[in-house]
Amino acid sequence: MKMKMKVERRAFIGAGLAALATTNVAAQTFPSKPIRWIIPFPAAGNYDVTSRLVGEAMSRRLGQTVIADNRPGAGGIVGLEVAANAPADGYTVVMGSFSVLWIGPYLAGKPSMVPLFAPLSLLTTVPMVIATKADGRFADIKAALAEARAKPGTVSIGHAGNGTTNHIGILRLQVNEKVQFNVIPYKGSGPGLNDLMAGQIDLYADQLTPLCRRSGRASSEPCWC
Amino acid sequence: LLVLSPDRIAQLTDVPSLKDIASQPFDGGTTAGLFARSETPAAILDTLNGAVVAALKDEEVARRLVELGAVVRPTTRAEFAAYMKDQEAGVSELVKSELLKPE
Repeated sequence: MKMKMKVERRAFIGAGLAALATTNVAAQTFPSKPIRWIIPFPAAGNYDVTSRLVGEAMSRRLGQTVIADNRPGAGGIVGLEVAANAPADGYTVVMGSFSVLWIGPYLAGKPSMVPLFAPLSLLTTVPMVIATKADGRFADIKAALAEARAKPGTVSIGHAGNGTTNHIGILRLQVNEKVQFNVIPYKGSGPGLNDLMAGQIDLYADQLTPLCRRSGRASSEPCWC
Repeated sequence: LLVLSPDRIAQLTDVPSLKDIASQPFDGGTTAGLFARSETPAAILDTLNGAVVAALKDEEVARRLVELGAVVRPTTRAEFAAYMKDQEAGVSELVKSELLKPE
């Protein structure tokens, strides 16, 4: 009995070493074929352009082609599922975000996709800002927060939809500052910024880029882009 | 009025950040990153990280990304993992307080 266990243990160690050796060889020769870069969003969007720019430079560095593969759908979940079902060999990478891996599935009543993936590196951040109309009723953020604290629900702030980074930013600020805004969801930033400029709402949370491009001077600050 | 990030950003140097108004700092920008399958061997993940970081540090790539309105953020694997944990902690708080609910 003792003997048999010993043999089995040795066999197990042997198998383990063989697996390790295979892994080492794979790592040493990596990459020996093209890499697929899944973009879980449609072509020509911000994520798409970023992926192609970085993928191209990465390909020069690795000496292998990096193939962009757009797999849009369900707010990015479709593309992530494709990546999650590919072999764990590094030949499939996927662009994603906390929002797509965690918040999207949460809102859809599904488990988080964070455990399925190993983070490689952040790529970019597009800053989120809170803007007001140039002649709006708040001169600065402190004034807006003070009013929202003193009279809960009287300061209105718009965002681009439930669960968007815009929405999350407002909620985190509310919790941290212990204030209560009148939070108004819009279907995307276009209608929200229109209402901001028309004076229907006090504030709007948005990415810096759409804010500048769509409304020109939504904020009291000079627009940089 | 406010940038939802710990520090001010280069594009709007005169707009206060969360630290400026003495608010608990968090990373509120729209952030993208690159992932591989979680069971991928570490040595391969390291190679991929090295290639992504080098690509992001390429002057021409960085210049074009900034033109798109982005802040370029090459990180180590551990830094990116820490960012994911921090986001999860912040958003879990919103879920617990029922501010964020499934549709």
